Amino acid sequence: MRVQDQAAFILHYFPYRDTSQIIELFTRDYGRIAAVSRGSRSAKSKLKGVLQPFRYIQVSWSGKGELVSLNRAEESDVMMPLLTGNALPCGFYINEILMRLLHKHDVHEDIFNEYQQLLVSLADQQNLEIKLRLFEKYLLQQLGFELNLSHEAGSQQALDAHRQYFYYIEHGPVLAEQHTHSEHLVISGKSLLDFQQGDLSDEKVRREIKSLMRMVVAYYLGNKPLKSRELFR
Amino acid sequence: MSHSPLLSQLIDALRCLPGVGPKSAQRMAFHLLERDRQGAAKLSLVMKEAMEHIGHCSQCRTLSEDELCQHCADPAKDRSLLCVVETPADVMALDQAIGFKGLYFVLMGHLSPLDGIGPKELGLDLLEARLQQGEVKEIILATNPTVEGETTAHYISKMAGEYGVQASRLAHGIPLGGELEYIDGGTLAHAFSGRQRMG
Ligand SMILES: [Zn+2]
Repeated sequence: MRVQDQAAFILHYFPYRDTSQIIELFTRDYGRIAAVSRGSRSAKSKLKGVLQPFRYIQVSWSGKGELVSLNRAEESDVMMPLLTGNALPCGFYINEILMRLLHKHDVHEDIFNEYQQLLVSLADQQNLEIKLRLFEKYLLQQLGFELNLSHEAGSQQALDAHRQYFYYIEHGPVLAEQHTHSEHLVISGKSLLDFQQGDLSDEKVRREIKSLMRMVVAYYLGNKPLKSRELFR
Repeated sequence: MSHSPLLSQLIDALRCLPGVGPKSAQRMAFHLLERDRQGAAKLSLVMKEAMEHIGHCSQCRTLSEDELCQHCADPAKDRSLLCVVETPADVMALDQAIGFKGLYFVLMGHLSPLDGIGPKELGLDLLEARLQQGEVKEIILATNPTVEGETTAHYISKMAGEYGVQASRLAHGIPLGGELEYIDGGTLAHAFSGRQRMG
């Protein structure tokens, strides 16, 4: 199989043999794929500046299965601002999540587009935490793990902004008064409802949602913690 | 025809050298055995010594067989200036190009979380302890102009800020003699954002 000029982002790459690389790509129409890029680590290679994470690139490859052969890569005409400063750890954080949550070859055009938008918006280094939380929420929803942020688990009872809830993953919020699992995460109805609306302007809401998302993301990622977290300082 | 077991072992061992495949490993083995046994004997001796004794400088992490490398042990160096680089090869390159009078700190890599390399793996706790001591007044971040090098520089600059140490980053951009239209967008964007005032 040959694919020409496919829009892609690099999620990860690592050295392969002396001058080659394995490139983990998130492509628009083919999902996540891994490709060998021959010679791109040699001193003369023109691909070095192109094959960088967070750059919108166009790639051509041949082959199929677990590892395809990258034939060409160039920058796309789509303007992408450069990630700098505090935006960089955010970029790595999202890439790590995508590497671990997206299955190879599953096509996610919508997530691809949203990811591109996210990178553009991270570049201004403003409200980074909010942008990450909203992307995580979107990502989980697209992958079929949508959070229940409006009703009590297993009922039609709308959440009350003034009450406290336990959040049960894959079920939803349960009134905190009815249960006594003290080790469980307690979160206010207001935080859940605000997050439902995509409003994280309140600092307390942000703090609670951060704990919530940390727990939820960890649940879907499995035991290994996200290494990128260590980059936030 | 297959090689004797020992010869096969030698050829196989030579393949650990960068850029050496089976064919060139075989050529090397024959060359050493037929034309330069003395050189080969010396190589094997020095190789063994080096592998056993060369470790990392306790202060800057560069390769050294002594507790302190020559740089760190040199009393003539300016200890208030610290240049952070990714590899020992970068130390050589900078030393030859500019004759830097301060000290180095060698990360032996860059932050790369998806490869499991975080601040601790780069010895940044060691660097932090050093900044805490207060001897260092200025830190020069000479990591590579890659996304990882940039991320590493950013992390260290924040750390430096917490200890009131001034941090600066190597300017990067258009190579000397380069022409704009042949330079990739990433490089251009970096050069553009790092532009300097004229006059
Ligand atoms: Zn040293």
